[in-house]
Amino acid sequence: MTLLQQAGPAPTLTDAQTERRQPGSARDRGLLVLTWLVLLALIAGPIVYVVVAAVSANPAELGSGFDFTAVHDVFATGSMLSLLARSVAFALVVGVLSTVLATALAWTTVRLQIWGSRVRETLCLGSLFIAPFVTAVAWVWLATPQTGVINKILISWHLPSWLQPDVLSTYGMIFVLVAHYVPYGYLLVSASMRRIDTRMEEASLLCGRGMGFTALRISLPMLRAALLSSVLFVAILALGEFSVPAILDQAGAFAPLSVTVYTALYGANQNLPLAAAVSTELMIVAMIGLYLYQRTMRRGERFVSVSGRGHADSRVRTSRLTGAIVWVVTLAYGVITFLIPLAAVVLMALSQYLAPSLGGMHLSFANLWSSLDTPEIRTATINTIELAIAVPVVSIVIGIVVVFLADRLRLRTARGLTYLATAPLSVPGLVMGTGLLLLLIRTPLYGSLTLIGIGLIAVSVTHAVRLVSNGVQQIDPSLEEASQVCGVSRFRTVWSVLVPLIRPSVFSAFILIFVLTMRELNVAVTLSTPNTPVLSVVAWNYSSSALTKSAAVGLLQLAIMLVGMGVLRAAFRINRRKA
Amino acid sequence: MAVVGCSSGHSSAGDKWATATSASGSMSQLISAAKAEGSLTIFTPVVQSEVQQWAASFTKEYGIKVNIYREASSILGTTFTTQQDAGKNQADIYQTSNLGQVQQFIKSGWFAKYVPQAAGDYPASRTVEDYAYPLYQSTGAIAWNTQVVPAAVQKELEANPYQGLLDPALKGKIVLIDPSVGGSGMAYYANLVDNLPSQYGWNYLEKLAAQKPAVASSIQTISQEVSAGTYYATIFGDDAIFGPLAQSGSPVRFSSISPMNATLFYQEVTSAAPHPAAARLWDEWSESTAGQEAMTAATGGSSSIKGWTDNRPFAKDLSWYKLPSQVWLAWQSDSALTGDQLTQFDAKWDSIFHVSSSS
Repeated sequence: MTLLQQAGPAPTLTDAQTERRQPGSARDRGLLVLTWLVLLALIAGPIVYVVVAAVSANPAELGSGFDFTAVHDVFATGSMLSLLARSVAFALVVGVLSTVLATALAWTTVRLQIWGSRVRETLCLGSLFIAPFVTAVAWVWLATPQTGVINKILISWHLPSWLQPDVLSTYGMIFVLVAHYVPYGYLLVSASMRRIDTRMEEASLLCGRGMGFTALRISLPMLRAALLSSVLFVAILALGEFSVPAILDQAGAFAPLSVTVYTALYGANQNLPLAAAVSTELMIVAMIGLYLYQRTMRRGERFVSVSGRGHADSRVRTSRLTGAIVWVVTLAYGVITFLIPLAAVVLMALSQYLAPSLGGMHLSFANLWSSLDTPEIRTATINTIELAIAVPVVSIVIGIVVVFLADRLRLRTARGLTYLATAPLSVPGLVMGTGLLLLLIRTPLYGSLTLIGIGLIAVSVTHAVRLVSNGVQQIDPSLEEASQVCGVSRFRTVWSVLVPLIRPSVFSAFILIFVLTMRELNVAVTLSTPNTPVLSVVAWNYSSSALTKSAAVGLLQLAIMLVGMGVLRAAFRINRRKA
Repeated sequence: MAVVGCSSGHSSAGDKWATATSASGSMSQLISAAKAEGSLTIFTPVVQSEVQQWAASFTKEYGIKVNIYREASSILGTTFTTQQDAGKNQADIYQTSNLGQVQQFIKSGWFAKYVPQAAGDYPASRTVEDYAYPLYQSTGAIAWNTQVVPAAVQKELEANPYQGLLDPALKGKIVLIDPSVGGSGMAYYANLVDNLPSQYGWNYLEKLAAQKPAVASSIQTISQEVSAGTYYATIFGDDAIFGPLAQSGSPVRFSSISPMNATLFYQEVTSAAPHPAAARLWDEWSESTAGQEAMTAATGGSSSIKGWTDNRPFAKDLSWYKLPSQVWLAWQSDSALTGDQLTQFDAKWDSIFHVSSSS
C-alpha cells in the first residue's frame, strides 16, 4: 500500500534543507523588503498602537504617560481570566462544529457524484451572504422563547417546551455563529479537497478498506492543514465577533470578551485602555493558536497532494439512496441556516413595519423600493462595488507575494511575514479600525474611499495569505523548478505555472474577500465619513430607525453579491468539475 | 487643548462668519454666504430618515444641501473627538443629548460661541448660554404591543404603566434597556430610583426583575421587537420613537406617569466648521419657530420654543396620546448620575437584574 508520506515525487531537498532559510538574490531581497514595508504599514502600525494604548494614560495622546490599570484588570483578575477561558472555549466550540459541518458538506459536494452539486454548494454557502447582525435579529424574531414566530407555531401544535428553540441562550449564539461560519470552513476545506489525488483513496478502497477507514486514514490526514486552519480561523473570528452575542444576550446568557471590547469602545463610559488591553489579550491567545498551528504544519511535504504526475478528477459514484440522503441533509441545513433567516429578512424588507402577523405588516414592493431609492444608497452602492473589486485584487496580490517569499523562496525573515499577515485575525475589527483611524487621520487619506479600502485590505490580507498558502502547500515545487530549468523567468513561472494551479484557492480567496468587503461593518463604520458611505454602514444606521430599511439594504447587498459571484465564476472560468 | 484650524478652504466670506457670534442685522449677508458655501454637515444621534425629512425643508428654502452623519451618541462623541484632536473636523453642526459632553467640548474650544436670533424664545434653564440651544425633547413612556397583550393588562398599562408591567401575563415577555448604555435609557431607572424613591425605588426594580425581563444593550431594535410582538412590552418607550411608529399603523401604544423622565437634545455650531456660514444659517433656521415646527413634524420630538403648539402628526392622529403634565429633565445635569456614582448605580442594577458586568 502506498503511504501518504511516500505518495509525492522524490523530494529534491531534504527536510533539513527545506527548513533552511535562503539569503536570496538582490531582486528577491528587494521584494522582501518592499513586502515587509507594506505589511508593517498596513498591519503592524495599528496593532502596535493597540498594544501601546493598553498601557497609555490617554490613548488619543500616546505621549501622555503610562497607566497599567487596564492591563492589571484584564490580565490579573480572576473574573476577567475566567471570562477569557469561557470566551476561548466558546470560540473553539464554534470553530470545531463549523469545521466538522463544513467538511461533511464539502465532502458531499466535491467528492461524491450526486446531481445538483452547484445548488447544494449554494445552500452550503448561503448564510455567508447575510450580515451576522441581520441574521441575529431575524432569529430573535423567529426563535425567542414563547413569542418567536417558530415558537408560536410549535406551541399551537402543542409541542413540549424542550422542543422549542431558544435563540437567546449560549446554544442559540453557537447555532447562529456556526451557521454563519460554516461557509468559511467550507471554502477552506473544499479548496484543499479539490486538489487531493483521488488515486490514493481508490488504492485504499481497492485494497478492501472501507469508506470510513479510507476517510480517516487517507483523506483526513491529507486535509489536516486545511482542517486545522479552518478550526483556528473560525475560532479566532468567533473570538472577535461582538454583534451576535450583543444581540442574543438579552436573556443574560453569555457575553464574551468581544462584547467587553465593544462596550469599552462605544459604551457611555468609553474606556480605550480597557478595550486595548482586552484586544491585546485576544491577540496573544490567537498568536499562541497560530504558533501551534504552524508548528503542526512545519513538515509541509506531508501534505503535498498535487504532484508532477497528473491525476483524474474522479468522484465517488453513489447509490440513489445515498444521493437522496445527502440531498435531504443538505437541504435541511440550507433551509435552517439560510432560507429561513433569508425569508425573515425578505419579509422585513417588504413590510411597512414589523407586526405579530403577516397581514399586519402591509407587505409590498413599494416599501422595498422606497427604502432603496435614495441618493445615499446609490452612492453607497457605487462605493461598495468599487471596494469589493479593489480590496480582493490587492489583498490576493499581497497574499501571493507573501506565500511565495515564505513557502517557495524561503527567504530569511519571510516566515515572519505570514505571522504578521495573520495578526489582524486576532484583533477585533473595531479595534483595528480605531487603530487605523488614529494612525491615518492626519493624512490626506482621511475622508476618502481609499482609507476604507486600506482598512479593509489590512483585515483581508490574512484571508488571502491563508487560502493561497493552503493551495501552494499542495503544489509540488518540482513543477516550478521544471519551468525554471527550461529557462523561464521566476515571475513568469509564478504567473504561468503556480497561479493557474492554485486557481481554485485564488477563486475561494476572491469570493471570501469580496463577500466580506460587501458586508464588513467594524472597520467601515470607523473609517467611513458622511462623504464616503458604504452599504454595510448604511444598513447599520438604518437599523436604528427601522429594521425594515436595514433588511432592504441587506437584500440589496445579497443581490450584488450573487451577481458578483456569477461574474467571478465566469472570470475564473470555474465550472462544476474544476471548481 | 489647542484647536487646529479646519481643513476646508472656505471662502473669505466664510472666514468672516467663522468667528461671528450672531447674525444680528446681517441675515441677508449670512444667507448669501451660506448659499455660496452650498452645503453643511450635521453630526446627529437622531434617526437619520427623520433628520433627512427635517433638513429637506431647509434645503427647499435655501437650496443648501445637508449631509447627515448619524451614529449613536457615544460613537458620535468618539468620532468628533478624534477629528478635533487631528484637526480634521468635518462637522458643521453637532447634536447630542449628553450635557456633560457639551460642557466638556465647550471647555476644549470645539464649539463656537453663537447666539441665534430666537435664543430668547427658549427657557434659560434649557440652554447652555451662548453655545447650545435646544433641538428637541423626547419624553419617556412604557410601550406595549396591542395585538398580543391581553386587553385587561392593556387597561392596567394605560392607567398605571409601571404597575402594569408587573402583571403575571407579561412575565418573560418584557424587554428592558441596559442602563450602562447611558443617556435616555439610564434616565428611566434614575427617575424611579432617584426622583420617585418613595413610590418606586429599588424595591420596584426588584419586583420588575422577578418578571424575568430580557435586557437589550442596544436601543435600536427594541421598538421593532415590540412592534413585531417578539416582546410584549418595554420600559424604553420614548414617544419620539413609538409615536411615529403607532401613527404609521404599527400595533403599539404607550403611556407615561408624571413626572416622567424626558431627554433634551442640544445643538451646537462647531468652532472649526468647514462651512461656517451655512452652519450658522442652519442654527438660525432650526432654532426659529418655522424650523422647530418642521423639526417636530419630522422627528416626533417636542419643542421647547415659546408658543410652540404640538404639530406632531402622531399627537394629532392618536386620540389616546397625551404628554405627561410634568417631565423630569434634571437627570441630565445631576452630578449624582456621573462618574463613580453612576458606576455604582449600574452595578446595583446589574446585581438586581442578574446581569454580569463585562467592563
